[in-house]
Amino acid sequence: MSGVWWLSWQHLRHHRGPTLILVLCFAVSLFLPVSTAVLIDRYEAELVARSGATPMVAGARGSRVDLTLSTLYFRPQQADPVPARLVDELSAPDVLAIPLHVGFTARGRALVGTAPEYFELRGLTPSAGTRPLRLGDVALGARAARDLDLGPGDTLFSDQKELYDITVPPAIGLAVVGVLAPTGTADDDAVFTDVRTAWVVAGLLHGHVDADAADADKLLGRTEAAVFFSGALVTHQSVSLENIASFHGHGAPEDLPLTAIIVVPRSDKAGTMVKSRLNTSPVHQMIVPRAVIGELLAEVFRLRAVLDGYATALGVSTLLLTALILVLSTRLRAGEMATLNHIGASRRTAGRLLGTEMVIVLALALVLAGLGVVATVAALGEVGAVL
Amino acid sequence: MSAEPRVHLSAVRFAYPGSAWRLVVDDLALLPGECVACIGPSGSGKTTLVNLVAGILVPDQGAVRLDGLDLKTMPDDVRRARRIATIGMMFQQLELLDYLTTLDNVLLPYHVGPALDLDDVARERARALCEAVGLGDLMSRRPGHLSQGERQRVALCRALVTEPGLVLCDEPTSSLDADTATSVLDLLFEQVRVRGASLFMVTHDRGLLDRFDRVIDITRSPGECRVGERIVDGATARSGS
Repeated sequence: MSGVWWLSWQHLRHHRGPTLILVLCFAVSLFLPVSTAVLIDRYEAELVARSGATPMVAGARGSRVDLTLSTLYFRPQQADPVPARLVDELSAPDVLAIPLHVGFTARGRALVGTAPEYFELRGLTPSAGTRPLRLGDVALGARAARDLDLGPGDTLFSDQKELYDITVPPAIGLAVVGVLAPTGTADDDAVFTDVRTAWVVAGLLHGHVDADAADADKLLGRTEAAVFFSGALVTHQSVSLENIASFHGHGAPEDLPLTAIIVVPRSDKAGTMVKSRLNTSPVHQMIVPRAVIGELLAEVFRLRAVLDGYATALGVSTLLLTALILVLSTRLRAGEMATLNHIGASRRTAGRLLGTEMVIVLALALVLAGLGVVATVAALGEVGAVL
Repeated sequence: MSAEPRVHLSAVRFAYPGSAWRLVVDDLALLPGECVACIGPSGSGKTTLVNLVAGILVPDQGAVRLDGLDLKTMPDDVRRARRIATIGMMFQQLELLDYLTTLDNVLLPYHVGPALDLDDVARERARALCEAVGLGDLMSRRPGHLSQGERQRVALCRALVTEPGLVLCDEPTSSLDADTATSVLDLLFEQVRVRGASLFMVTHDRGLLDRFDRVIDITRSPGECRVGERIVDGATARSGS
């Protein structure tokens, strides 16, 4: 290490506190605008890509943004569900309708009930095991499997929404049959199953022992149309080969709820027709996620302009403070500089000493800010992480 | 005097810009191994004279020759490189760097002198100097943890570490108590004589003068301070005659 570099380093090391504060100030003033810009760019790219890969979405009338985010990122929706029969109504030879049921979780991960066509649409393939094949099966997104440390053959329990309310559906044991290959999207964090299993988790379908095999004390009555059991009759809390046939619902299957339906028209004409047909409905709507995301991003860009203004102000104030620190430092170190000058150090030594210290501080700040940006992007780099 | 002077000032005239005052040195030579004191009233230009000898200031007229080379004709970088390599400086106002240890402060000329090679020999010499002046146990301490006398001894080692042919001192003990000053000066004279260096010291303390081979004074008259008009030996100067 050359003399000036060595002296600078020794000075910074000796004055650790002020150096650390300076490094942190620079690091923060670099980190905030850079991480914001990187995150917004990544979110934008991801939102555009995912929304672009989702042609249309049918759902209940209400917030278009909520419907879009529920469909793309499995965020629980506040709006009403749509009946399952809408899938059949929308389906046509040139229109593919994919049901989607979200709102429940399994160990904190979104539990997504859907159809095999969803896997085709998103390009989801198993890296281990298979896709969900029968009632009670789930396939885990890559990151969900890694974080939960689960794989084929394991059991995953759904989250019970209310622990102390016995009227809500109990936790259901789900058989992990596969792990999906990573895609770098929100799908990596989700748990996929078929729609019927999602309805079981929601308590809309259930299984229990046959009426003839049940304890007599739990049988309250019997008519030609129905058998009445006591609430003490425990329903099956997992699906197995032995009990799978017992799972059933007590309403019309076509009325069971869906969060949304992804609609994939084979042609522009088919898309226009199905959209116009559904949009005449007073209770349903058809949205184009790319358009909704475009509107959302326009708002984000307006916010970004404000953030850029803040970043500029922060940068200018940091530069002014740096100039002030340099001036004060030069005055405080006048004796040191005089000593160097007198003993014969080069005329440029004093300037190089201060400059080198600033370079080291900036380099440390850059490294710190860079690590911060990398860590932030790793933690929040996907839209799903902040929704 | 047959030996080539270590330093030779001839027909030197110097004035600070805008000043009506000027320093005049008609002829002043410092021989190798010679110890010379400079006395004079406050404001008579003693520090200016030291700065001229060191090449920190350049005369308006005349020549300052260091080992036969005219400092005035040298480029600034060369003059500085020569100063750091051949002149040891011990000024009252020259600070130790608070963030360096005793040993690194002693080695400072090697850290900032591009022509000096900081090798094991230099490090060993610095350690030996510290040992010689009683700083052997304090080499890893920083100036903030040293007494004033210890700091002056560090400055002394720094002045001597490059084995300079000339040591310049500007009232190096003025802020020290009498005992500490005597101790530091004993070390200074001992180390200078051991190394055969020349010593030029500005001082107010007439009690020190009998330690020097020669004493020069600076006389002051309106608009001019003149060096070398009255060259006396140490004993005479001490008596104040």
